[in-house]
Amino acid sequence: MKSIRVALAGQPNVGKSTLFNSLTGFNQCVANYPGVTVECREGKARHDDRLFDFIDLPGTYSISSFSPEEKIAVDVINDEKPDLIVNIVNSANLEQNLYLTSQLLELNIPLILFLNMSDIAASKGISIDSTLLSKKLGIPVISGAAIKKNGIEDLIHEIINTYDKGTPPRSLNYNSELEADLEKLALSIKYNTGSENPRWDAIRFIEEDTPYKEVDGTINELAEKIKTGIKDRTGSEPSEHFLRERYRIITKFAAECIKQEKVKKKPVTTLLDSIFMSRFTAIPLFFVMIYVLFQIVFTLGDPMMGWIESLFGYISTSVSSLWPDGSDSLLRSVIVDGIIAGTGGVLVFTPNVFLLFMGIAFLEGTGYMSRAAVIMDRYMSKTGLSGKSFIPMVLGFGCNVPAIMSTRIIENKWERFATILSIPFMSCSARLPVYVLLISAFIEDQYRALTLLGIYLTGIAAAMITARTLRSTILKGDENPLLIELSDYTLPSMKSIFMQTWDRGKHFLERAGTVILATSIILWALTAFPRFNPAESSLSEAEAAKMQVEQSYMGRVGKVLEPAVELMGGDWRAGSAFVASMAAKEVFVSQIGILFSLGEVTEEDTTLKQKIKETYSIPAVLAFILFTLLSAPCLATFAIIKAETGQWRWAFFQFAFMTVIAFSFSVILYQAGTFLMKIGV
Amino acid sequence: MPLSEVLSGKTGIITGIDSGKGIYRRLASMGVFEGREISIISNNLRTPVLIESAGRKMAIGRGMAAKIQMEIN
Repeated sequence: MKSIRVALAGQPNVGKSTLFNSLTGFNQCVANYPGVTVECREGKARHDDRLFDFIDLPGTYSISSFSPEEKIAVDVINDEKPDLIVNIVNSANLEQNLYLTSQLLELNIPLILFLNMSDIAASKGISIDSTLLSKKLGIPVISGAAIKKNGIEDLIHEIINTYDKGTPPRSLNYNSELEADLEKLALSIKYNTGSENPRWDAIRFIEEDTPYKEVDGTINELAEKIKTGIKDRTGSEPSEHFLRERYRIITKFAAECIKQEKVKKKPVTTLLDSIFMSRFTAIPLFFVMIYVLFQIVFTLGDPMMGWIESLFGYISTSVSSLWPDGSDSLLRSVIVDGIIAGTGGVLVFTPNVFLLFMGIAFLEGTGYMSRAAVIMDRYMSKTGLSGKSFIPMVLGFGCNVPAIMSTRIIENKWERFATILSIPFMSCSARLPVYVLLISAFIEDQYRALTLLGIYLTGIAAAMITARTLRSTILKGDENPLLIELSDYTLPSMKSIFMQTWDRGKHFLERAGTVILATSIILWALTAFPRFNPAESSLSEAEAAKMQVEQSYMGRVGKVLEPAVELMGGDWRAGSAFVASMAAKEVFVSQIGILFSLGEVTEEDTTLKQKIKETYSIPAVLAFILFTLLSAPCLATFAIIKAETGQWRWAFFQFAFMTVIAFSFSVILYQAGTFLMKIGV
Repeated sequence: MPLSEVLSGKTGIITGIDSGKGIYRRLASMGVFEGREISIISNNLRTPVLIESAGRKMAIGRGMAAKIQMEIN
């Protein structure tokens, strides 16, 4: 049997995802639009022996295709051609929600109105005469509460019923002049193009700034004439005239169908807002929330990271043991040192990433996230970003990869891109081992913490300056002041949190399996080739490892770069270690250990610290730290920037930009430091 | 007077929005345009203004709030 294709449409914060989840179960997939925050989910289901295909449209306040989200909603409706649309509205502010309904009525597709959150509306003293509303709008109206699974059965029955009847709704009746205009234009469109829904086409032609479809000149000419007529008659833009007309009609309907009684009890939201949004407690409470989120992500995630590390360690030794001891088989090396070590190095972040997304999904679901954006807006707006960028930025201290993925909460493309490109300056936890090694090699115990704080503050400053610069130059975009709905506080359902976490976390896993795997093999090859044959001399294992790296392509690159690295006080060893640390920052430590013939070492190794102290000067080590902080963090970040912006050029831009910045400032620091030491300051 | 200067707890009618098309449309699709009644939930003159219009609560950045004119009831 043919399945019924149902699109779910609704404004943001109406519980659309909750309804979608209770209609479809777990067999969903996400259609992604690269570079846009919008996700459009699809899910199959079987109810009452009928098959259903549900499409969850992005939440939009209208479908006039003025914003990217609205454009996608319109495109999906046009491309997927749903059999019917369920319009989910928040019963607690029905009047505002009916604006989208007024547009959906014009699509010529059977429409059902689902009055969600009717329990919340009732608690606020709002009662809706759904029979009268159904008569006024000319479409079936079902009331319920998706989170409590109320009204879902009724909705499914009504979907089947409406589908079997298949009658599209009639659209709203505008004022007679406008109706006459529409009729004239629709007739011409129908005659010239044979369009199935000429009235909708006519509305779009009048509403849009640019011609909405490719058509011959006569239609455009007529549309322009009508638009000028409306401007002369009403004194306002045609799109604004439509907007007022729609609101005029729905306000009338709302007045007839909605009754508001006074309730004595103060709503919970007002009460909670007086705590979370108050002048004195808002900011401290916000930092408590961030602190808890961090604790969950890193404290709870750390032991799990340990498990994954040991799992990969186990896989690595088991695979190694397939070959005889001391074998230098190339296949063993590519599998163990390339594939397993490379993917393991990224997959180890999986618990952090999933816990983080769970935390964000919870905060978004409760309604706190939009408040957090309001609280931080005052500070973030100085950098050309808005309050919504704050949480992704802070998360960058943990790991840049999930931080960049969490920018999906920012709708404005320009602001989101500026945030993505600034996050890598936030010093992530992988850079810490490098600082620890370099700081403890030179700096006295009592100054170490202060130095570390200085490093982090420098990173924050770099991120802020970058954001400010990008927002006033290449990422200026449209003006994007804060305008955000503050939905009522709710306790999100576990299912929605898990679905959202899984949707977003899945991308991370997919990436680890593709781009990151490929790049780790390339980096492995660069250090493994050409092969060094230790048989010809009687070198120790550490010496042999050093020789392998030294004469590998990676080592050669280090030697080629030596003149440049010398400008910041380094040598070819530092050069190769920096090149190798492009895979992941902490690789710097093990790489430089190998190059000092110490074998595999950690940042706590005293011999390595001694070697560094003997080889490099203080200004050089400080320059290394600065380079580590400011240079592009890792391949995973590079890959995620490509994935989240949808374009390679942003990933390359960020890489080049950070390398130039890092190199210039490190050279300046080294040269200035050396000069100051010479004159004896 | 501009919305950004209206004190907490006041209610009034929007009389004009002096902004570009893009922002006007964003505001209007959320129900904020000339002739609509809104109430100011909180305005501390430093952070975004919190308003309510027909049951919907919104936060409006100060820059945008300064461009919205309203007449207090």
